[in-house]
Amino acid sequence: MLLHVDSLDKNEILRYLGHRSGQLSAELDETLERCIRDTLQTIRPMAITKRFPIQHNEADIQIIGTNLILTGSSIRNHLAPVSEVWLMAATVGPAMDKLIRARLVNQPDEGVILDSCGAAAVEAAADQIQSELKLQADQEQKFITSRFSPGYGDLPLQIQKEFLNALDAGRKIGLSVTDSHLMTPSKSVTAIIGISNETITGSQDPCDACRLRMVCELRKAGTPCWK
Amino acid sequence: MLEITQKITLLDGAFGTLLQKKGLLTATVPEANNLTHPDAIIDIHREYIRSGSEIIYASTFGVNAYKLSGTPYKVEELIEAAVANAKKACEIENPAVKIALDCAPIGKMIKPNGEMSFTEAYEMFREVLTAGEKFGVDLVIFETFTDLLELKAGVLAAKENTALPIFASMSFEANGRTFAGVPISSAALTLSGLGVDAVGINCSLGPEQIFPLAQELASWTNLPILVKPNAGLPNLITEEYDLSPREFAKATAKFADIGATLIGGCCGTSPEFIAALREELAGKTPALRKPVQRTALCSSEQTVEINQVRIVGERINPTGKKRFKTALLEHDIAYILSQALEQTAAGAAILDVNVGMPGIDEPAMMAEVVEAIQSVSNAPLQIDSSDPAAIEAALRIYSGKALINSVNGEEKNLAKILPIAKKYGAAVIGLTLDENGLPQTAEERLRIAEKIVKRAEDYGIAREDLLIDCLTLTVSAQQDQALETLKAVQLVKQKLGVRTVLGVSNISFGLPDREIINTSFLTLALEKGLDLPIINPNNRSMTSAIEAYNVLMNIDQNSAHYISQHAENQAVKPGAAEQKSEVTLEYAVMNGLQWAAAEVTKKLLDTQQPAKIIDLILIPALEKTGIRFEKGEIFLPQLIQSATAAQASFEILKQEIAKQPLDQQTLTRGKIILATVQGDIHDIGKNIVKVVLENSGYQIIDLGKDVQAQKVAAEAAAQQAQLVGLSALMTTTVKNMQETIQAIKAVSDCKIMVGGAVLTKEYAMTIGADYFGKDAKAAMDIAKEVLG
Repeated sequence: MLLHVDSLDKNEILRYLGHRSGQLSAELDETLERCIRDTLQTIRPMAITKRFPIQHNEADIQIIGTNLILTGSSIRNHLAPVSEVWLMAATVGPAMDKLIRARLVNQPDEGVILDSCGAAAVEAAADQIQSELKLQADQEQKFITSRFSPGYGDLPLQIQKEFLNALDAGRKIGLSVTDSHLMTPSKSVTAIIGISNETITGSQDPCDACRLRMVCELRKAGTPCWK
Repeated sequence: MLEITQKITLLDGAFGTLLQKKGLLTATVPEANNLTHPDAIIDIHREYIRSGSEIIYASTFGVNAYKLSGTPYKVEELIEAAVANAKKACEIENPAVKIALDCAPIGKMIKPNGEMSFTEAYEMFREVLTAGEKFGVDLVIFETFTDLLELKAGVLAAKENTALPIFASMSFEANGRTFAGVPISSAALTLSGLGVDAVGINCSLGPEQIFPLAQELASWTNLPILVKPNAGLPNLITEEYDLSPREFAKATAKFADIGATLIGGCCGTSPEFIAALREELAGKTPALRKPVQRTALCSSEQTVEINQVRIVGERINPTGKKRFKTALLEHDIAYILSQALEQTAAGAAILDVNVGMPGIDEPAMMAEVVEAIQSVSNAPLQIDSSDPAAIEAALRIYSGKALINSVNGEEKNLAKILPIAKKYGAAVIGLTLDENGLPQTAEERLRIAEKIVKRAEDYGIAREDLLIDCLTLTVSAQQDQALETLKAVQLVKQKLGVRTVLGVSNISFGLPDREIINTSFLTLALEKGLDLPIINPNNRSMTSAIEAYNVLMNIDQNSAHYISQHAENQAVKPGAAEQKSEVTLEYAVMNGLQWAAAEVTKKLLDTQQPAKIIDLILIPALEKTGIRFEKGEIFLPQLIQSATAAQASFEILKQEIAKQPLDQQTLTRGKIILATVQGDIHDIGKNIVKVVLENSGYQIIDLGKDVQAQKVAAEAAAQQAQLVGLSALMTTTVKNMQETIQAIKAVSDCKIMVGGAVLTKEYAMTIGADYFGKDAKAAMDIAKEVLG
């Protein structure tokens, strides 16, 4: 389905760019605004979701009706209280990748800003989907977990191909993976959201839900902010 | 052979939908049902034949080496079984029914959207196609494609390895583009050019949404048109499609009114839908279509119709440009790309690409440059070479319909180039000269043009794909020739009805104030019917002459474009003028003032040597910036801005250095090879390091992303580089980094630095790197330590 993302969070983009503090110069602020405008004009956010029952096995979790098997303790922990999940995939489309590539040639400062704008855009798309799913869960008086993506914790990135197959994401939203399990278009997100009859409690690694996860120096250094 | 007649041929409907009903879709490979449940497959085919399908698709949609990898199945065995099942169904129900090999996209994206190479895609298609032909299909249908270059790889694989008729169908969204951004016009032009037997639209949408898209398709091609819509649009929750068989059939039968002749159904349809469609189509004959004669070029994302004056940018050409020659020799693709983007921003609609110079492997360089340009630009390309091998190398991997520059009236030349143009569906520029040289009169030039058009038509190249260049001569040497050229343009246009091209600026060679002569000649030529002026679009007086012409000829409605280009003319670089007198180069670099950095550098060159400027000003300024970045006083975009300002200064210095004899051009601080390791396509980190190092005065050999270990090692040895920088973003590709390090160490004793989001210093040392570059500043420090 086609989504509408019509604004981006400037502070989030600045965080992605490693901006620590202080006022932006007027020029830089203008550049950032221009990049956000270019991004909003370029992206074509699309997403697909599908609901599946799951089966907890001793060593893994099986997504019933697909060939997708989730391994690792992080995801078992994350989905411990649930018997159903939504799989979701969102992308802002290949035009954003091309815009970033082109801008990096002649205006590399804008290129790196656009790269972060693209990341913010797909996060915004994923947020939108998640709130829609939350609404649906509310109606059923159920609860949802946070998003958990392949590559988080010890959930291997290798499942991306089967993950996208389960959603027919190639055909539905033009999303595929490379041989090294990266998604193309690159500004894309896949995630698993658990559906539970009970309120979600228990220990979910806070980093898993954090959108700074991939760029966080603290987490990389093994000293996340919450420890 | 398959006969495509002026009658409607009914295709079949969905396969997956029916497998699902039989509970057979959950298999890892749906096509494995050909082996495990042949009766179910044969039943589905039989149902379609009974409901009226005259061509059925063998159940081979997702069969290819990529999708079967990691499964016990082989491409050939599944295709053999699928074709056997289809044949069985035909034998039982109706032997006259034809069988199509059904061929879907590979399943991963081709470059530049993904990492799959053209050759990899081609080889996978070849395997599928040769198996299909071997087991006896009647034709191949490529369907559900979204990437034009991937489809081109498939079509070429079919043409070069089989004799199968080819139907090619893409999936479009309601906005008239595929997921990869391909508009209908580009699909139609490219596929018609490649000589497929039918083009079409399938999947994604229902018949009502596809109808206007099919109309558009019919306006761009003379080929038979195929449509296979879905059974309407899916309900987002139930995933059921919203049209009944009757509703679907009524809407789909309307395609006959626009002349479509190959009609069936895609997702959500069933034999019931096809039977209803047969009833609705009974007695209908497809409408006769108007012949299409449009001169147009395209990239995969943009079509440029030559129905008004279009600027061809001439700047991607080493002739007479020292800086460009250096870029080619040093493999500086980024410089070439910057020339491409600058020209389109200045108004070029088409880009001429010429990389011919001594000491260059022209076919390889041409292919590399074309691939790089199409990864950042949407402008259609004009392939400029006299080497047929270079032209073919470019056309093969070009995504779209290109223009060849050029053929001439010489028989030998025509016999070499025209078959290539025909095979790849390119348009061609014909120069009006031949074995006897360049004729002096307009009439003789017309005669050569006639001959070129005639020969092209003999090869099956349509007249609208021929453009004629009547050749501009230098007016200071042969003053009477300007008039002859202008007259020839008019004659060729009137008598042959072809579009015309002229390289304009040659006219003024040897005269002062060349711009005045150029602009005046351009205006005269436009009035005589010049369609494609080949010019430097950065020259404002030339582009302005065209903008003015479009106003006066009543083409630019309400002068809208003219006004948009000229109203804000005075607003260039506000404040820059007062800045440049006060600002130092150090200040300009540290504050990222690109334009000021260039201007100050020009001034400094009056009194200082380039090497001094680099050592005493640029490098210290960059180092100070690096420290500020490290301390968090500035952040990434500012670091890049500083590096870019330094680059602007370096550009000026490079131009200065290029003026010196070659043996004295050794001002770089040393050579560094950079690469993102195999499997990794995220190269933004590597690119940032590149910008910073390049602007710190090092010569960077950028091998790009997804680079094989052996290639890095070979380059390290060949270039005798002292430092190699490797980047890997993903945990999955770190092991490739280790392999690359081992490969380099085996052939070279250069130092190796590594970086990337998932690396740590400890890990970098474990896998054998000499240095860990945690960011661009660290890379700068390492380069300084190794190279000085």
